[in-house]
Amino acid sequence: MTPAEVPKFIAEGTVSKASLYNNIFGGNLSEIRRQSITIFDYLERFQIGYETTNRVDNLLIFGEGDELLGSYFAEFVAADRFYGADSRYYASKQEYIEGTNEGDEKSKEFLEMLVSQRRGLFFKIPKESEVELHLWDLTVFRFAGEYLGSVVAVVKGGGVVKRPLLSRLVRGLNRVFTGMLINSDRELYLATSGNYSQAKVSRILVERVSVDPNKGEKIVLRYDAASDRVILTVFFAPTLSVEFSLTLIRYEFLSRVAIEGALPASFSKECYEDLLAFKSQLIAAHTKRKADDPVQTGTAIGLNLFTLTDQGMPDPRFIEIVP
Amino acid sequence: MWIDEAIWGHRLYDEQLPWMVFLEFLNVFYHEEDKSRAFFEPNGLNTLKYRCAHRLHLRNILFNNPHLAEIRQNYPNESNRWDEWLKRMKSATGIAHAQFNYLRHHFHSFDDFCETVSLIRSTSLEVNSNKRWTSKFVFPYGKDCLYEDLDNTASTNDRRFFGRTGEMLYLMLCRTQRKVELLTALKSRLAETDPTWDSIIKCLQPADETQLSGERANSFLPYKHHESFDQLAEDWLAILRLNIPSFDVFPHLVNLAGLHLITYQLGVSRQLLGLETPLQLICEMVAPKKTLVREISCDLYQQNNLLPAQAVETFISRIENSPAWQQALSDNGAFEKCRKILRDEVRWGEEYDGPSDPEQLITALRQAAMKRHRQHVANIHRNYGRDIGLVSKRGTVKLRYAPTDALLKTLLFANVERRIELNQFLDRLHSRYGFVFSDKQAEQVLAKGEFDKKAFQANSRRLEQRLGSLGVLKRLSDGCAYVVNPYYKTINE
Repeated sequence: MTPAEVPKFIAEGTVSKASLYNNIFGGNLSEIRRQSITIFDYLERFQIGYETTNRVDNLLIFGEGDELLGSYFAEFVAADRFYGADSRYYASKQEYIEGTNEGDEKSKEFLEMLVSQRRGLFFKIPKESEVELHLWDLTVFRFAGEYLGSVVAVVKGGGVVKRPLLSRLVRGLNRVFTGMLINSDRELYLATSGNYSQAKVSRILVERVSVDPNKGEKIVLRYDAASDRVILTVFFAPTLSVEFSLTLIRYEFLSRVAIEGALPASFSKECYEDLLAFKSQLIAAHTKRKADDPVQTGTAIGLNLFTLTDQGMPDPRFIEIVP
Repeated sequence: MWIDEAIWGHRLYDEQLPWMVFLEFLNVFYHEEDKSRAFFEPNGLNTLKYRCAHRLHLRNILFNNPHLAEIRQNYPNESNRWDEWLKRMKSATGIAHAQFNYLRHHFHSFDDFCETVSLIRSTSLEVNSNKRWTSKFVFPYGKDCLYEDLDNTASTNDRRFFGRTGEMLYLMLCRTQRKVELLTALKSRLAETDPTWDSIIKCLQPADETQLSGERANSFLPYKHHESFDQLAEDWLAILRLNIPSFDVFPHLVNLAGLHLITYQLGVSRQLLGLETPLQLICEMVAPKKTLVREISCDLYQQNNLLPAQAVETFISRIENSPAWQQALSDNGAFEKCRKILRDEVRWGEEYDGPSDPEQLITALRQAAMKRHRQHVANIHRNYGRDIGLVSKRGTVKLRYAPTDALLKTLLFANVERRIELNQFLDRLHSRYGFVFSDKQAEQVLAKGEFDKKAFQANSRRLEQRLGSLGVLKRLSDGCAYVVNPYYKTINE
């Protein structure tokens, strides 16, 4: 685009195509070109513009004049004279809602505009409305706001993360570690399957680690200034601990596992594998702590099995086998 | 008939997938190790003789015992439960005077016993398949977990799933240059594993469990040395020396055994066909859309898939062109002489009842040999390839080479010590196995017209992403990408 073309765009009413909100994600580039530029490749991973909620889409499509959403539409879409709703948008919207055209072309054009508008919303929604409009649902990282505000900012300031958040992380860890829909969040459950350390389901309980400080055990979140990361540390004893860097992706993954249960398929296996590796480290630390206990040979083999009750609470069962 | 066997050994069997190959191998290995001659053939090549355990008490409890849940539900009293179960188990298959009383000494309660059985079942192999109970296997926690595949009546090995490929695998390792090192590594690795589970499995068997198979003999591997044998040993050694938690090494060993059985079969075929270029396996990193790499990989898969059949063809042609055959043709009684040659060379011809004409005789042999070849040996490339995650139909209807994450990891663990540059890694995969991922290797092996730089660059970019998401690739600030083996330990560590 050159300055000479500006009058043309104004005449055509296509100024919105220059939307900064859209083009910051490479929206003005062809798909192939966009993928070959690293920064756009990274920004694309947030999926801003593609992730949405019913509320946001209702706002954009039906918001105009709506009792509840109308004010938002006016504030974020209609009032933005540059990149908000222009005549092209209104026309397309009308066509999309009431049009009889079954062809894909027209609605495809409107869907592309929606992407651009969602991106706009992501930048335009002010801090006060963040919770109300679920701003972070416009990205893949639905817990990102909480991560930034209630975790990173808190630990950076030397504070303690609220207990419900820590509990949720522990529940997520427990679900990944056991492969079952466990609801326990006061203790961390280390379990194995017998053969593979990476097994999907682990029914043999190795150890429970208390979240609250107890005989040297505890689980805490802290800020590591050297790496500028949030670290989740599991203490087995005051001098024996294992650390896990709690990145945004991992935080999101654990939170979703804790709340929704199922492993989010849209996440790569990376997180899952990282967590299993973390479990291996934890079990190794546990073995180290136990190494000091005297071993009795020739005695019975004990196994701590556990199943879940209907409420998802662990129901342990000790089995002894006499050789 | 002795054609496939003469070319590759007795025998490659497609229904015995790599895990079963590995189990059969472990049976042979433990037996020979017990006699202190593992990986040696003290009486000469192909003289292996061994016996397998049957462990029918254990197998009846685990896989031929649908009573537990029902008894737990219907019999509230502890001793009733045991009595009822013991009564029902009197008719356990394959055991004369079945007695399971010994279990009561090992478990405090029937419930404990049931829980233990269910736990062991959950880690067993083939547990969810609908294979017969005599073809289900407990995870190889140790010596007391090994036994051979048996027929429906649990009396003898009918070679359904233990088709001697494990014996071949054992013989391959007997004939590598690094067998002494390998023996040490394998022994120490097996000794390091947690003995708890083997002890528990042992508790499910009577103290005097001694039922053994008859002597298993007649294994045959036609080559004294082969590149594939050494490569397999090298890969196994690399894996065994890693710091991988105990039983986690097994899947990698299994994958590598499968891979090298494939490269062995294809390699021998190529040698027989006189092809001098090395084997190429062009791999697609699965792309969302059809790509040129996929097309080439599909074609190459088809070509490779036909190699064994062509080898059989060539093998027969060689007999036909041999001086002995040509001489026989011009002699009196040509037909009988030719028939004798076939009887001696390929153990075939006894039941031939076609016209007494050498030409027709050898045509009949060709047909019979191809028919037999197609039944099992021809499927190794496809079945093993799919089982270890090398060959896949993902995203298309045609088979091609498209390695899974698990196989990529195995390859990485076997080929990277601490860390190496991604390009070096790809070079290594190419020179050792013939794997082609990126444009650099593709350019070397493809004709100008076929080679498309962009397509292969995209392919290697996808590989890089995969490795990244598996957590084994690090990109440094200077733009260099390294692959990392997290399990590597130096000798001193």
